[in-house]
Parts: sequence; structure tokens; C-alpha cells
Amino acid sequence: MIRCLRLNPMWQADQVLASRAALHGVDAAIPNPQQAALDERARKAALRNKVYKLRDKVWTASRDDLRKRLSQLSLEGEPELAALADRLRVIVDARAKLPQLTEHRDFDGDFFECFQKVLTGSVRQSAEMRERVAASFQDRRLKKRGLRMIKLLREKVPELTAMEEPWFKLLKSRCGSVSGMFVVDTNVSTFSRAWIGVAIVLIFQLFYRLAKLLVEVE
Amino acid sequence: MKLNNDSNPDSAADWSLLPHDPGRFFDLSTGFDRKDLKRSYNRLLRLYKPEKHPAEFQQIRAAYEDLERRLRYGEARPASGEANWSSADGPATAPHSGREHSADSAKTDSDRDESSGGGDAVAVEAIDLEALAGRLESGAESLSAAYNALVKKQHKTPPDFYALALMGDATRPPEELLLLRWLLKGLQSWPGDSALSQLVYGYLRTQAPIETLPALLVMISRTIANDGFYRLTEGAWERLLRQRPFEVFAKTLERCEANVAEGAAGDPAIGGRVAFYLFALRYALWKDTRDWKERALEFVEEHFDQMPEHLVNDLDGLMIVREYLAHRAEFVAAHPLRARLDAVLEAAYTRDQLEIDRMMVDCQREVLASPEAVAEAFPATDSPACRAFFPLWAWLSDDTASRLAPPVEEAQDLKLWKGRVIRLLTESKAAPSWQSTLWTLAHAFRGAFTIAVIVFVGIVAFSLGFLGIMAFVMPERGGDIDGTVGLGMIVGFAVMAAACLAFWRWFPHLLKDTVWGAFCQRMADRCYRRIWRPRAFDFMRRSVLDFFTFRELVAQAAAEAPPDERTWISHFIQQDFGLAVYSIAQRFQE
Repeated sequence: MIRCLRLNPMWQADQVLASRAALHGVDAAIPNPQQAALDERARKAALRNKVYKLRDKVWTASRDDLRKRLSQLSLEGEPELAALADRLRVIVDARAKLPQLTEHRDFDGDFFECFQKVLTGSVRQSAEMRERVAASFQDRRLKKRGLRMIKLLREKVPELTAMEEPWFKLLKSRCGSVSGMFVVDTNVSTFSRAWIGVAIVLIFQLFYRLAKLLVEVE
Repeated sequence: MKLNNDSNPDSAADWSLLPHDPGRFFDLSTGFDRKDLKRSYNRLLRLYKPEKHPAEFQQIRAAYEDLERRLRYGEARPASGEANWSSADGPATAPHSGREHSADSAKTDSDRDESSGGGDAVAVEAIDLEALAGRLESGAESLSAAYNALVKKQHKTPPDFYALALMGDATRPPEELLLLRWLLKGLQSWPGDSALSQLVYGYLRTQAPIETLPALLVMISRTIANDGFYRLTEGAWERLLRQRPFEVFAKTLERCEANVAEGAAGDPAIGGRVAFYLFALRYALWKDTRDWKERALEFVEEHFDQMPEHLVNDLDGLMIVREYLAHRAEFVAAHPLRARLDAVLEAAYTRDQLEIDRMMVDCQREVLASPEAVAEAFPATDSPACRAFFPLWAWLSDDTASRLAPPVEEAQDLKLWKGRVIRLLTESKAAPSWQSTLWTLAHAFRGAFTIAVIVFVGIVAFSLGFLGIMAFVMPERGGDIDGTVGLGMIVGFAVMAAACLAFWRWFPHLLKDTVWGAFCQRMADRCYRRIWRPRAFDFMRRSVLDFFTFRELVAQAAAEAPPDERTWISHFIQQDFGLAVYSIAQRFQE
């Protein structure tokens, strides 16, 4: 309690009261609710920082070092961060197979770079990259290269592609999309009106020919 | 925004400003409010992370809590009688004290103090706490001797009361409540002293046994019988509200108010009481089954003109809660997920921050895991219950996300997303389905029907014109058939053309206003629910755009397209609470 005389109760009131509780054996189980919430926030932020740091260097740092650091993480009660850590573990394990891929004739460096960003970007960065690639698939040449690369990735590193399966499915499904082939971010009504114009011209031509035929018959 | 503009947002805090000028410590200029304070507080928390700077973090939090409470209770400046704790050994001037009261402390040492703070202002010597601690530690002076000597001191400063509270509490059993009694005595002499107030507030909030709280509050209301009572005891009331039936709160408050009214006779200040009512109403609106909440609201509204702006905002917030509670039964009955969200909302107003945060994060996970359930729980149709619910949910989620969700990232590439939204609308419009086919056929049928009606009208108009001429003009012409038929044909065609033209202009509008409009609304509603909405949800899932950005992009894209299904899609998306709730949950993704 004497120690408390040296504390400034203006901002150390919690400590003073905690010492008092210890002195009297009073149940100090009622923590300052604001402090408890802040502590929780700080704990979560610290954990997040650790995982994000590992994510930032997952393609470059030593695999053993990454494995060690990932195994040291304690992520109970944080399913989102735990899922992210699991994702990083899969990437670390699969990294050994990647050099062989680059030698394959279907390997597409640009696509692979995008894939890396999708795998280890933040939520929004990954979402943007996925859509960017999907948009680029409107170009036939890029689409063809991309599909070959997807096939290669599925064969050689299925554990990596499994993490982005919905995206790959989306990319593949775009290939057979009629609307994707004929209507690319344009105005469908303009398109329809053009067809109506063509139809009217054809009908006029038909009538003209019929009238001509009738005149000839008479 | 009341942050000083010339300050660097990342500049370090000036610790010398604490505790006497917390406003400048938080880098706030004149006229700041609680929002400015919170913004500045969050900035400092980012600079002084608790894991790296635990001591600074604690100081910042304590200063924030104190200033926030002062602001809420209309006492943004430290009290005039506040002592200088940072140089506790310097001389201080004892202020003119409040009234002395000893009804509950007659048998305690604190009541033997006869001179503290009474009378006119006099220069007093504050105790050197460091030296006292040194003497006690070295054994040069015993605890009880030091305590007795200090009790006899004529004019006491807040550090004296602080030392007395600590030493009295250490030498006597806790049941004697010497800690609280000396602190209260100190506050009587030095009204509003921050450090003593913090200790009383903290004691009541975290250590006083819950079963003794009603009696303690009544005792305090006799000692601090003025408007400041409410600010000082807010933590205790919070515990009572959360851990005891509401009736206990209401009865205890009634007794305390009577004491405060008696003690503060002639003092017109009601700011503390209004702020306290607003604080208690947050809870009472959910739990009070009797009429306290109505009376409290009436009191607050009576004094509306005297309320500072930020309390008006609090009142507005309570009115939104009230509006929601009026629709609550309807909202909850609609779907189990809604009941879950409602439970979090209720917790947000009635439980501790930590528990609220946990419940909120769990609930957001649930929302994120099942967009189908969200779509089911929030149908595309507009409903007053959803309208009342959403602002509360958005505000609360945003508050939690600002603390627990990953930091918001840099600006998004809106050009990319606009292109993707255009594609989404185009593909949704072209998506094959039974509904859209039926709708297309109905469009064709409407065209054919319109043409058929116009042809019919044309024939009737022609017949009327022709026959009219034949009937009325031919007798006058003396049976000139060829001339009359020719004239009849000309008039008939003219009438027909006029009728067709008029009908062409008028009939589609008539059709739209009667049958077609309602039909389109119904078809669009079905198409949205079955075809377009799942696509919109899927897009939200993929894009992680926030709802308002998405909504804006959809509106832009629809406005740039001709009026067709895309206009309908945009119309429904603008008011889709399901998409909004789902989008909010996406902020919690890692």
C-alpha cells in the first residue's frame, strides 16, 4: 500500500485500487471494462501484426524460419487469423515445387504473379486482383494463356489452387459465357436496336421482291 | 473537426500537459466535442500501443475517460479547486468548500477532522507523498502514527486526503470504508478534484460490493449533494443497472435524488442529471418495464434547450433506439438470424464492452458464413422494422470494426469496380430464366396488344367517319355516290389517323398506370429475388466493396444505361438491407 503513495491517482487509479484489492483480499475480478476491451483490442492487433508480417514475406523468407514462426503462433479463438496462418503454411510447403513449374512451356509468369498476389494480398487487394484477371480474360489471347496456366497449376500444385478454387471456376465459367463474348460492358439495347433495323431492311427487301415478282407474273 | 490544424497527426504527446490540460494534451482546440476527443484518442492509441508503451497507454486511457466523462457532464475544464498533483509538495490554495456533512461518518476518523477545507481560502502546505513513503518504508515512522498525525493537520490538500484514504484503509478493516470516506471528504473540500474523483469513481465501479452499492450511493448523495453527484457515481449506477433488477436502480435513484435536491436547494444546475439520465436511458429503454424511462425522457425533453450539442446527439441516438424498439417484436419474429442480431444490439446497450465485442464478432462471422441466411432474413421488400434496425446496426458494427477489424486499406480502384458493376448488371439482365422469359413475352404481348387495340380503334374511327359522311352528306349531294364515297374515305382516314395518333400517345400510359406498371413491379421483384439478388450477393462477396460504394456504382451504371431491367436492379439494390448487412460483416474479414 505504501507503494501506492508514489503513484499518481489521476491516471494510476486502477493500479491503486488493484493494490488495495490485493491488500484486503477483495475480489478484484471486476476489471475496468474499458481497459479490458482495450487489452483485448491490443492483443488482437498484436497477433494480426505478427501474422501479417509473415504473410508479407511468405514468398521470400526461409521456409524453415517461416515454419518455425508459424508454429509459434497461438491463435486460439481467432478463426480468421488461424485460417490465414493455415493458408500461409500451405504456401510455405508448396514453395518447393514452384521452381519446376517455371520451366514448363505453359508457365505464364504474369498470371503467376497475379496468383501470388491473390494468395497473399490483403482481402481487398486479393479481390481487386481476382477481378482484374477476370476482366483480362475478355482478351482471347490472355484467356487462352491463363487457362493453360490454370491447368498447369492444378496439375502441379493442387494444394495452392484448392485455396482459390471458386476463383478458378469463375474464370473457367466466363469462357463459355455468351454474354461475355458478345456483350462486353456495352449497351444491350443498342445491340438489339441494330438487329431490329436489319430485320426491317430485310422485310422491305422481301416485300420489294414479292411486288416485283407479282408485276412480272401479270 | 476541432483538431489543431497545424499539428502533425503523428506527433508525440506532450505529457507535461497532463493532468491539468487534457484538452491540449489531446491536441484539441476550443469548442471540441466527444467525437473530436475520440478521434484524437484513437490517434494517440495508435502511437502508444499498449504492448510497447503500457504506462503511457494507461495514462492516455485515464485522461480520455476522465475528459470524456467531464465533457458528457458539461465540465470540460478541471474544477477550480483542483490541486497540482504533479508537484504535490508545493503550496496550494484551499478553495471555499462545499457544505460539511457527517451524517454517515460520525463514528469514523475522517469525521474527527474538523478543519479541512472549511472557511475562506487559505494557503496550505501539501504533503510530500514521496517523503512519506520513504519514512514508512524505512520504518522511521509507523503507519498508524503517520495516519494520526495527518488526521490532525488543519488544512488538508487532495494529496493529504489521498494519503489518509490509503493509510486509513490499510490500518482499519475494509468494512469501515475509510478509503471512500476520506476520498469523499477530500471532494467536499476540493470539489471536482480529478484524482480523488477518479479514485471514488474507480472504487464504485470495480470494488464496492454490489450488495452494498444502494446504501453507498445514498450515503454519497448526502455527502456530495449537488449536480456533480451523478458524474462521480456513474460507474456504480452502471453496475446496478447491469447486475440488479431495474427496480433496485429506480428506488435507489429516487432516494438519492431526494438527498441531492435537498442539499442543492437553490442550485439551478441540472446538466449532470440530464447527462446521467441520458446515460441510464441507454439501458432503461431495453429493460425498464415500468414508467421510469418515460419520466426520464420527459425530464430530458423539458431541459432540451439547456443541453449541449453533443448531448442532443445522444438524445437523437436514444430516439433511434426507441424507434427500433417499437418494431422490435416484428423484426425478431421474422427470422432466427434477426433474433441473433437483435441480441447483439441489446447487449450493446446493456453489457460490458468486452462482451459486446465478442458477441459482435461472433455474429459478424455468422453473417459472413451464410449470405443465403442473410438474404432470407432480410427480404428485398422494404420494411419499417429493417429501416429502424439498420442505422443502429451500422453504427454499432462500425464502432466495433474500428477497434477490432483489420485497418481500412488504401482507396479502391473505382474505375475497375465500375466496369465490373456494369458487367454485373449486363449479365444479370441477360441471365436466362423462366421469369425473364415470361417478362420478355409479356413485353411482346403488350406490343401486339397495343397494336391490335390501335388497329381496332382505327377501324372504328374510320367506320364512324366514313359512315357519318355517307349518312349526312350523301342526301345533300343528291345521290352523288362516287363523290361522297371519296369524301367519306378522306374523312374516314383523317378521323382514323387522328384517333390512332391520340391512342398511340395515350394508351401505353393508361396501360402502364393500370396493369403494366403493377405487372412489371411484380416481375422485377421476382427476378430480383430469384436471379439478380444472388448475383449481387456473389458480387459483394467477391468484391468486398462496402455497400455504399457498391450502391453508388450501381446507380451510376443504371443511369448511364437506357431504362430497362438494369434500372430495376438498381432500384432494388438501393434499398437492400440484406446486402448492406452482409457488406458490413465483410469488414471483419482477415
